Amino acid sequence: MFAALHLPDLPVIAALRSSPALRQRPCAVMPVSQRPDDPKEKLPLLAVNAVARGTGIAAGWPLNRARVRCPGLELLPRQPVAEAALLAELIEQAESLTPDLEITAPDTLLLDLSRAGTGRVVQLADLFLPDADLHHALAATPDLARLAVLDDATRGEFNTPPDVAGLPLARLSAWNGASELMPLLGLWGLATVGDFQRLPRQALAERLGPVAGHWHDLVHGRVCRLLRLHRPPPSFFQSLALEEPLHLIEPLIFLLKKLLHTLSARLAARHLAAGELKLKLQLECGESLTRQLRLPEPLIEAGHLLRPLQTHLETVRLRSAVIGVELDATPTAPTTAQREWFGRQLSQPERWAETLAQAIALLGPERVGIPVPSASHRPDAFTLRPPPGSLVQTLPEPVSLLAIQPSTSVPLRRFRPPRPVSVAFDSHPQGPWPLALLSGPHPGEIVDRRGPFVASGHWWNPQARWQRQEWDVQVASRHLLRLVFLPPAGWQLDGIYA
Amino acid sequence: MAVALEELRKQLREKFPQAHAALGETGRFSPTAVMPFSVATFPAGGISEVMPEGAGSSLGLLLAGLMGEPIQPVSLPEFILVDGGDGFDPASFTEAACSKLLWLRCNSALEMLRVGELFVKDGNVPFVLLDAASLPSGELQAVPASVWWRLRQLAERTACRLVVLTSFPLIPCSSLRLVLTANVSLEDFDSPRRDLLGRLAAHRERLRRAT
Repeated sequence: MFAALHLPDLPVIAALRSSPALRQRPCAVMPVSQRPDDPKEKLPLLAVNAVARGTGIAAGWPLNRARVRCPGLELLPRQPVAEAALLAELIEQAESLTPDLEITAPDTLLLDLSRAGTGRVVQLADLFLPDADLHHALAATPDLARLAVLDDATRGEFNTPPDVAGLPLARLSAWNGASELMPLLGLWGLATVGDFQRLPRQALAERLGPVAGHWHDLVHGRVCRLLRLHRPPPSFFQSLALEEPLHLIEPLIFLLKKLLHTLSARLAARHLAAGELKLKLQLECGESLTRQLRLPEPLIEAGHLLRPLQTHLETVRLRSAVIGVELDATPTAPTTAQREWFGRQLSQPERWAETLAQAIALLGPERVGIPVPSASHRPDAFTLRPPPGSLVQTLPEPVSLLAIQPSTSVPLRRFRPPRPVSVAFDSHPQGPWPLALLSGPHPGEIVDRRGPFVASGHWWNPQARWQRQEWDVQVASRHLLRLVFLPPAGWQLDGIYA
Repeated sequence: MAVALEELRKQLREKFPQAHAALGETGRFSPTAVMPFSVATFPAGGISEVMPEGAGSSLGLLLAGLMGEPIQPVSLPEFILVDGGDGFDPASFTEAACSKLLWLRCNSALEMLRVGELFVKDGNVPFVLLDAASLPSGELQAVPASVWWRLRQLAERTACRLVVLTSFPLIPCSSLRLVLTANVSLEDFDSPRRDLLGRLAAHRERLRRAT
């Protein structure tokens, strides 16, 4: 036996939850127009409340026609979040009877009560949602139950095919293929479901195709399909409150290992893998530390899951002892794809992530990454992109509008920070003219030079403003250097062409 | 018999150059002049040492040659640059070329060796460049020989190509020592980089082995 639960006017009930004062007034919800140039007055109403229905209008009426019949009609904006919450409440009510249910439509559920006792069937009438009329109907097949719940005449009782014969044929509009079949059946003069039931199946299928034959089977209760069961997403949350605070990392790792073994078993039982780990440490001082670790690839094994956590925890300094641990995982499908033959891939992604985490712990996150030259003339301007497969959240790659070309053909080896030098120079109208390096790593006479290359930037910002004159110089020892004059009197070496 | 064997080896080398790359660098077959921009030049599972000759810009050009001039950025880095003296200049390369390397900015020889060891041991990207050319020679000479032997053992285990850029002979256990020469002057700064790479010459230095 199957039951159908239907919540008529769900969009308007959801919208009225945020405006309860309008409940006693005629209200309607408009659909969101797909095209902005559609005239709003011609759009059909998505749903109306009982008060509006009492004035003679119904869902599907154009707005301008509904306003003529009901001048005080209030238009409410659609509230998708509230609608989802209302549907969740409906599912919660249904799950009190059976876990086997299907979300057939945003306002209709089908329940498989074949394994539920008689008591459960009686409880159907007791289901209740505040400020809403919840209807139900029973039948031997799910499609008959869905058909029966839509009409007042068949609601609240067990229905057989003869019971639905009196329903208007328009109730079949929600079935698959209705857009092709319904106009034809209307032209044939069929008005009720009973008219359709009385047609010979063989001839109907020959004239209108297999869909019409399938409809015929449905209205006679000959087809009992399987429900597409709704299963809530599994939760892998685990928490542990500790009697004694933990001061060292080893006992914490031991506890995490225990939690990860449970997590691994639960993931394996559902044929899932962890795509992300969320760890929260409750500290004795009242604070908490939350870290979200994105795994390089879906993992199941407890040992593999522990490695990134352990590497991360080794880099963390806590302000006080740990008194509670919470661990959650985002499940995802395990990787089953075959490795690519012609593309480069990491042979051991989990090991790569761990190595990167160790390098970042050693050097700091600002010193590890893929360099991206900056589209700026500011000296030594670049950004570091997190490498693929790292545990830190990767930002979307910057889109470079211009292909940045290097300024010279010879790569520079930079001095960081630049090295100040003393320079003997001649005064020229366009600026100082370097003659020799008097100090620094490569002192000597300048035998050849290119420049000056004048650059400046951020002139509008007194703090960030910069100005410089660059020379590429060759000293007597044949070393090629980048020499920079910083007005008014500073000289420095930016790097060496080595 | 020996002539036939040599002929067979020659044919196999021509047919499977990748498989014989490591063998070639031991100095048994290959001529003294080598092409430094091919990854296969450097033996897998060993340490290669690359030094400049004179004051040219050879190490920078070697790096430019290894990075190439790709049109599109690559999704995965092709080699690891452990930059001992933090001297790499991203502005000297295109964004697509920079995408081929993972840059690790170190401040000392100790940091460079520790990070280098991590990635040699990892083996996911089996080409690691240790740039020690900017580090003070005193700091490098203080590195015990056992550290290099340990790195070599790790490289052997993961078949990693470990290339060390230095300014003087440093490594006691290197499988290959290349000396690069590039006669670059200021007039060449406006020449296309491809022309400068063509002028970069490399020759193999004989390694003295303890017997």
